[in-house]
Amino acid sequence: MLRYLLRQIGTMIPTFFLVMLISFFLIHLAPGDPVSRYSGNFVLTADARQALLEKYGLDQPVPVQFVRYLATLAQGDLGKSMLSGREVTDMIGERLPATLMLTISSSILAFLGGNLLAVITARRRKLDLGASLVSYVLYSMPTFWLGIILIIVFATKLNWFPTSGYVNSREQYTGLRYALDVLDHLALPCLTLVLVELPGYYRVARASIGDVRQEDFITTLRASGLSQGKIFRRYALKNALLPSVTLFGLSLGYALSGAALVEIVFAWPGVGRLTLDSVLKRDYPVLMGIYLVIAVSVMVAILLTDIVYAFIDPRIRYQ
Amino acid sequence: MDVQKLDTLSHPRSVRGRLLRPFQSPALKRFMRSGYGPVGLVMLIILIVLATLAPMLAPRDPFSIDGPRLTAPNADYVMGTDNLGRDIFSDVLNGARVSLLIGVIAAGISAVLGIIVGSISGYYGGWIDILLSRMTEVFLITPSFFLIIVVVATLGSNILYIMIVIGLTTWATNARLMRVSALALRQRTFVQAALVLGEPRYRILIRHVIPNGLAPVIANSTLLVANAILIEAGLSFLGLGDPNTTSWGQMVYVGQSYVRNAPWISIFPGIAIVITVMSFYLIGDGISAMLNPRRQLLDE
Amino acid sequence: MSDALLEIEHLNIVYGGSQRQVTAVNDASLAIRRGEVVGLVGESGSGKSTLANSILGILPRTTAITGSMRFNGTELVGLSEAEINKQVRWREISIVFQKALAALSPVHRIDEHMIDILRAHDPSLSNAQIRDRMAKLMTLVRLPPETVRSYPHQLSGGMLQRIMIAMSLLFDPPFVILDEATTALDVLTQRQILNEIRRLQREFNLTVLMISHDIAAVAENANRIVVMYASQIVEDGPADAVINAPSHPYTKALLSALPRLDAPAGGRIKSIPGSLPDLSRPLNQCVFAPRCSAAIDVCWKAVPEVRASAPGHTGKCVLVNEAQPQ
Repeated sequence: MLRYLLRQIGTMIPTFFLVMLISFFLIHLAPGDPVSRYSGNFVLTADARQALLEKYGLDQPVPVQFVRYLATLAQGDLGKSMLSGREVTDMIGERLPATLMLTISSSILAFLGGNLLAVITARRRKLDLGASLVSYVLYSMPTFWLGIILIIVFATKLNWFPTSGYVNSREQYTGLRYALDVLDHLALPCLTLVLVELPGYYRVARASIGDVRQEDFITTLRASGLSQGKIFRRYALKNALLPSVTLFGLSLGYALSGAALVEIVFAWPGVGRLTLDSVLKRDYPVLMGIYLVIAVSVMVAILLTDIVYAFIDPRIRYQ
Repeated sequence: MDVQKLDTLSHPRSVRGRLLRPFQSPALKRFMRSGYGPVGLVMLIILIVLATLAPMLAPRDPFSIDGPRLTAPNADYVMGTDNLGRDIFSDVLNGARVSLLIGVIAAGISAVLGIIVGSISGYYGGWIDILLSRMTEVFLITPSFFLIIVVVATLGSNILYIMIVIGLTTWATNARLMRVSALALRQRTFVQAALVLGEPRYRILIRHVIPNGLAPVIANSTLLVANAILIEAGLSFLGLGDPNTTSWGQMVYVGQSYVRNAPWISIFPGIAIVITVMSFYLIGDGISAMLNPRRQLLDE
Repeated sequence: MSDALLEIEHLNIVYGGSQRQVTAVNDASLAIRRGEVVGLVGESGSGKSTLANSILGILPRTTAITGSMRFNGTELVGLSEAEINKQVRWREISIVFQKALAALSPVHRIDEHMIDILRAHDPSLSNAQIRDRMAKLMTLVRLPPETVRSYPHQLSGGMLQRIMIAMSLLFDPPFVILDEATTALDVLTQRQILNEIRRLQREFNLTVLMISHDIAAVAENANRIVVMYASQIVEDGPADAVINAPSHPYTKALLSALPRLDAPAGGRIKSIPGSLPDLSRPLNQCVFAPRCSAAIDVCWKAVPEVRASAPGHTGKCVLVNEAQPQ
């Protein structure tokens, strides 16, 4: 088990460096540098321009910049923003909780909902047909558009939830009131993500339940006199769960980047919003920092999925 | 069951035979019987007709701004008008072409790249495989939407760039599917036989491995068309769409500012996106049913 | 034939489906006496497994079964799922499948399966009783008792088949069906398992229905051989008689397709030319006629009747010379 995990980690290290390399070059080789962006319409004197380039090391060849970047990275330093001068670690750090709260809560709800729906509809043909149809429609929706529709219905028409934001800025809530206020703001963006992600879980779970029911061991258990209900609950379900768990784990990997559009629609102060701002302003250090955090979180998610998988599936545990 | 088993064991036909075969094959029957497959196909055909005939069907010039502003849907303006007085129905009709084009071309680029990388990786094996697999892995774990916004924001919002970038960042799944096919085909007798008969490796790759291992990539590419359309919509919504074309995503983006008093500006183009994306998902599932007889049995 | 433990009469099994209905078992009659070992032989698709599965009621729900199957006097056709669970499955009749690895849940330990089966039939069993029962069965199939703590993938094919046999004996049923139980094993393991089965059969006076496509393996172990071809039982008789004096042309062809040690060197193994009839259409000819070298006009005109060539040895062929009643 431990050896299995170590091997997994081992294969990830070179991948990680490749990720960093590709993204670094991709961002740096693109036309348009931050200095000219930053200055906007002002025409900088050649000296001032040079001074700025030197200050951020942009006058060096790109490979040198990459090595320097790795060196600072090794010290746990993601560098400073070119625009605000703030530590990138701080900027991402203060955005992380909002994003994680949104994506993790929606992933869990979508996972539970999708699997529950699959179990309920697994043996009822008509319901199954209806659920499939709805899942196709939801699956095809652009998240940002669904978000807008939910705002139109639940915020502007019904007035049940606030349209956007993280907290009600006009009030100074503390303690429980504050938490409830955040939950109130979380409801719509979370619902948007749940609705978009749920069909994926539903489809995977449904297909998997269908596959498992065709397995020979189901016939064995049926022949041996176990009731259908018991076979389903004790045996089919546990076997059918494996693909859903994988999907859940992988989706957590995209927790940081996947909600970007929803964050923007609902003005949710998360990493997605920060990403867009940094892209538009070419704030390299921030972009690289976000990218690093995303890549690491994807890898950690894959690793965690492997661990959970090993707990459920003895075939992997005893390899 | 046994008939299908025979089918997979039999010697694959030539490329031409393969192309001709679907018309009388059980595979096509499986597609037609899958339920969702034909529904998606009908939806797509209607969409293609609408997209081609859009200039004729649209009641007004989509760029004319002489209509009344922010009019709610009525008999004259079926889907209402936007903030500049443009007819939304005409805009939506014209947007179909952009969305379909972006989806198909981006998925095409992605398929070609995936097929090349995957088949070489799986068929040649060895260090080439290790290298290409690592590369594929990098693209698999990189959230493509992140890369796409970075690239589009830096290179500029040109429709051509957008298609290429979507293709360049989504090929990894295709490559993985193709690699698995190629790995399996490498062991098959007819491929080994061709090698023994002295056919050069690159010819075997092109004539036997790729045509016979293509099916999963085709199924996946249909889904990728849908994804590409969604990605483009997302980009446009962020204001990173091509300013010279009107796409559905841009219309939703414009409408967001008028959610309170003119929600129809966002609603209708969004519905168009849903229908288009759904048609491709339905077709993709139909193709999967076609390729996977066992799953089909389940649904009966 | 009143001492029959299982008596099947005019059994028809039709696989449903809106588009195509396939007759898997066609007018089958068969009686198995207590303590008998009956070999059911036929090629894949002949309907032998369908017949066996129908006894335990584990065919898909869309399957239509008509005719009669009496076990120990109880009619099995038409029993509800709950009644079959209570009266038949595992207490009276158990089954051992071909692929043991697939026949067990990969994410559950062997003992989890066994405990659930035991509890399903007797909720009053104590943990100690269950442990004793499992340990006793493991000794019976000559495996260490702690084997039950393993997951299926940790065991070899031979061990798994022993486990499956032990599982089939959880409630000491009088009747055990072996559905290609040794087919997937290598020759040596196959022999060991067959010896094991023979020993257990004698020890518990089990009645066994042994299904196989391998007539040679069955010949060694069964008292009686029943041959199925394309959904029909074409021959039924004592093992020796069926092997040495087959009454149906299909059995003859099947036996001549076997490689023999005493065959002249360089001789070719015969295969049977022709193909199976379409089982989705009603038959009004002999099923074997298209492939039969001895077929005559009448074979194409009606389904032949079952005729006895000797007492207890029947064939479904017009060419069988009926034994004179004595």
